[in-house]
Amino acid sequence: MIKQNGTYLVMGLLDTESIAYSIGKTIQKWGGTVIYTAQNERFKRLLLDPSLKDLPEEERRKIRVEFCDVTIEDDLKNLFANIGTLDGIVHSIAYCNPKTCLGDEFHTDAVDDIKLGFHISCASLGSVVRYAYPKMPNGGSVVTLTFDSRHAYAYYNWMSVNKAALEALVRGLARRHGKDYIRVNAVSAGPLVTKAASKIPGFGHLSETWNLISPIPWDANEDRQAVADAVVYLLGEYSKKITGQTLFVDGGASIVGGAIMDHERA
Amino acid sequence: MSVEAKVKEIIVEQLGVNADEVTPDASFVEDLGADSLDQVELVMALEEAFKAEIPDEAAEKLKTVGDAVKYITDNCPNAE
Repeated sequence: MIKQNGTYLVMGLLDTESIAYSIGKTIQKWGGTVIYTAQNERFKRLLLDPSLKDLPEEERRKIRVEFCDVTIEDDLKNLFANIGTLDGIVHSIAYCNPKTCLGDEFHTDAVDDIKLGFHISCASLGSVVRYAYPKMPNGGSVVTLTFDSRHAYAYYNWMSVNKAALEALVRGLARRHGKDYIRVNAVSAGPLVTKAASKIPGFGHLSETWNLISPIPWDANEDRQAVADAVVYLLGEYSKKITGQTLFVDGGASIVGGAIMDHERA
Repeated sequence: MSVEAKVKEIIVEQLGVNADEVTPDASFVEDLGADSLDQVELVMALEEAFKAEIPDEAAEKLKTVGDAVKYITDNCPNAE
């Protein structure tokens, strides 16, 4: 499925609840080697390390973590200077200030917050690919994580704009790097319970009600594996002519208008 | 602005709580609803505001608002 003994960079590990962690484990299951990135050493020590405590030693040993704050140019330079050839990259990174960029109102005056959110959640994919593509001389696959930007969700405001931009960037990068045999795609996941998602206002309600709009039942606590499997599919050779796409792994919720009726339920 | 007022302001901003909840005895986790990510972000915000470095061992001991005010007052020469 993925390249045996291939090396995959999985960016955006906060703790073992992170989507990045499920993706990394799935890559390893299929025979790939994983290098994770965390934002900085403090995040690793205070968030990741405590969450790793209960894991078996064998699993913990397989977790190699480098540090990279994607808003810091030197971090990106150092990261890619310290790693060898890659076969793929997973960009599982997003942030915006929940007080100004998410919530009841579209705040337009918090310009610095809006810029930072865009930088981390969208533009950083471009920065990563710019440093990464020389590391993929035999071609490769880049996958980012998005959330349905075709519909307007309560509270999601500026992040939805960032996700729409991210999906546009996926298409632009796919076009630019076709000649390098590097594919760029996004997976649009249904809501998953993670530490980062817990900062999204109304996230609890969204994840609980996803079932009401999802033809296939969706469990925000359990379905991260379905997302990880789709990411690994896009990393691997079975998807070799797919590029610039957004693949929805959301139980089908994003194609439905109105609620699922009782007679339609499993 | 006093160290205490500044620390309170940062806590209100970071944790999205009301100023009157931020009493010296208030525990970040139990009273102000902070999780581990909030706590790391709070420490980073305090460091930035007071131009200081708070080592992890010290950061882990900051359980209440009063702990944070005392730590900054005792250890941050740039405070005030």
